[in-house]
Amino acid sequence: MVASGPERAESRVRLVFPPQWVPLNPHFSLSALTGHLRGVGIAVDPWDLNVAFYRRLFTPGYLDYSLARAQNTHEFLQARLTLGRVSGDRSREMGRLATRYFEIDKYLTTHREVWEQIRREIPDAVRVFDDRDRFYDPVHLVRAWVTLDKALELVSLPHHPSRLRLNDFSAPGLPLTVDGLVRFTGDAAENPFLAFLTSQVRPLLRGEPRLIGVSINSHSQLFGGLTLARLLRRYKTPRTHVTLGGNYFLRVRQTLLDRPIFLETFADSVLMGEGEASMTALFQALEAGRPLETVPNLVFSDENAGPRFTFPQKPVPLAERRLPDLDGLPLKDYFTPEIVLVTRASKGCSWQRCTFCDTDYGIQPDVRPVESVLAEVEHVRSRWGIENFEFIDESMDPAWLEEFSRRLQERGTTVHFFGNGRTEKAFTPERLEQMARAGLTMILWGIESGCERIMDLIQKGVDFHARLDILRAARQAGLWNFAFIFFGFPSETEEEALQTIRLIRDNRDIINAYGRSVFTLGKHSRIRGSARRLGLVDLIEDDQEFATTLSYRVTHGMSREEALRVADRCRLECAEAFGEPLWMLLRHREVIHLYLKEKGRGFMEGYRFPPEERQRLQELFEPTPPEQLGLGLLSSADSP
Amino acid sequence: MELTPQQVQEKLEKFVHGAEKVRELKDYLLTFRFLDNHEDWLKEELARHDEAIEEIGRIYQEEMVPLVQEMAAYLEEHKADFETLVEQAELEELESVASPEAFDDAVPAGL
Repeated sequence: MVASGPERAESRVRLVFPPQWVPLNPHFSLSALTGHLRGVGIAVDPWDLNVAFYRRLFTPGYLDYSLARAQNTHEFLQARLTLGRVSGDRSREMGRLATRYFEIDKYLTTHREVWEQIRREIPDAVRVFDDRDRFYDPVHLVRAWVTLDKALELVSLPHHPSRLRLNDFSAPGLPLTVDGLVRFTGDAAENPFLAFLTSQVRPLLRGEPRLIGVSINSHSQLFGGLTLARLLRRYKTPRTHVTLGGNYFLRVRQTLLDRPIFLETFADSVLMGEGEASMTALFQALEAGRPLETVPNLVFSDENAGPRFTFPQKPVPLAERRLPDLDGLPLKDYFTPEIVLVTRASKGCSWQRCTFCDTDYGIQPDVRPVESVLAEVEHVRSRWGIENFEFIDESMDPAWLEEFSRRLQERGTTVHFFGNGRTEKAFTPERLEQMARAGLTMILWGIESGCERIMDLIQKGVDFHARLDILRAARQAGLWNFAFIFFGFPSETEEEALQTIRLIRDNRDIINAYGRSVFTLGKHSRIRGSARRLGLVDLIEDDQEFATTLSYRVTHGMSREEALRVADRCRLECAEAFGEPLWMLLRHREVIHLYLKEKGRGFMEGYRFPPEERQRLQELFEPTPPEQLGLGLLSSADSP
Repeated sequence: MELTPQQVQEKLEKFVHGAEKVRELKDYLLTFRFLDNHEDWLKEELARHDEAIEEIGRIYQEEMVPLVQEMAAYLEEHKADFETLVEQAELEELESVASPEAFDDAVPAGL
């Protein structure tokens, strides 16, 4: 069932994608880097341990394991809390253990039957994602989502309040510091990844590969990724070099240099930025016995001087990169019956002025020739039968997209795709119609706010008053408009936030769906430098060295807590205004795309989930409150 | 038998220490469920498996049970005092539940 295991062919490089990430499709880093390395003649095995982890979690056996662990924890906590009571310990830590005890206790006593219920349901719920007919039937799909949610709640219990979800892992109270991560990764009681990843270490190290790269691209991957790296570092022989790579590390480079314990604990080196050239150079240096100083973009520990950065080198231009390669990836294990392959036509943002944003930090802007993307699409389609693509470009260029669409049609290539866009006037009605004819299903627009003053502060660089015209044209072209919005930009008042809610609520004829989030102050965002000068904040604290965001205090406008409340109000008001539509139940943008492709926009707009089925699901999974069942919440759309 | 509050706490600490070791060993035994596809590994670990089971038995018999027996005897001798303490604790619990700030520091009653 899973790709990882002793039966795998031995290779000299292993690329590992650790949990936690949404297991809907192969991550871009894995397919792209595998393709590039193989293209330059390096034998490489991709290991998607994230999807393997979820496949393992969603089994009766794992639920039995979690129940036994919950019982062990419950038994220990009874003694631990008694001691706390006798000794008068009223610390925060004691409070955390008490909430864990009560949460486990609930599922070992009054709601004990839920374990058996989920144990019974889980095999069939997983099968829904392998079965086209049932996947495209909302009743079956929603029931499966809800079953998986409940299973994740149960397997998280021994580690409460840490929580695994399909689209996130959170560990409240865990400081994102090097010391905090060192503690967490070695702590079996707190770390839900440790047991599974320990079982993967021996197969990964079999045959003493020359290089193992662990890819960490997000906050949610830090915990599992560093747990795995630490295990590999502990059990490997000197012949195997363990390196960490991925978008995350560029943002915390100084911490890696300042804290030697990081490299001592987790890896032999860390690659900064895009991996194609550096990974190739690292492998070649290891094979040839050349010193690590010769490898670009590398942080490693010098015997005499401690951690050091080698030297920067420009990334391989997109036009020169090899095609993605999916051989060796467990394509049938992803949680959709059809793969939506992640790709990109460009990197970096052409605008680069939005003050809140830091997604393009450290990325050198580049655009692929249309021919290169067409070649990729056709290669992937003929080699693996994949017809669905998600463009992860920060924002897609309308002229590029028009040419791509035109040439797709000329070649008669049938594909379906979606991506991000800015409401630029270059998205003309004619272009949008061309794109829709070629297979574009949906554009995820950066709408951000309904308030003109906030949009000015954001410096989005689009015509505030004309942007709805563009959405209207997209709608007329047959596209699905998905609007990203967020609350709590420094100085935003509640009334200004309500303008954003009204914008969505009152334009449901052209805004088909939305994803909401709450502002965070990125360490590398443009507003970091100007927020204090503009009088928006009076305190900025970098209190977590391994976080990519900062703590701050606004001088006026809503606090973060108030912004969270408004975001929740948005969910409630829009769920009512939209009439609890199907897209809210589909949760993930990839799934919305697949439904648009398979069932069409009319079905998406007209479908209503049967009330009796909703009631049945709510009763089935008591005591989870209905709002946590995903019945009225598009969970994955909540990320910024 | 007379015990000072300090001595009671020390005995409880020893008990919790034993309980924590038992939990760790039991959790370790559960990880064998992840080795189902790795026969060689499983064989190597089996010796540790048996050691862990023995160690759990030893901790129960030599560390935890004697403490429980000792504490049970002590409580039997001081039954009236203990009942008063329980009543006080329940009263405190009620008060803390009534307090809006109780959540963070909550400790289960009746333990």
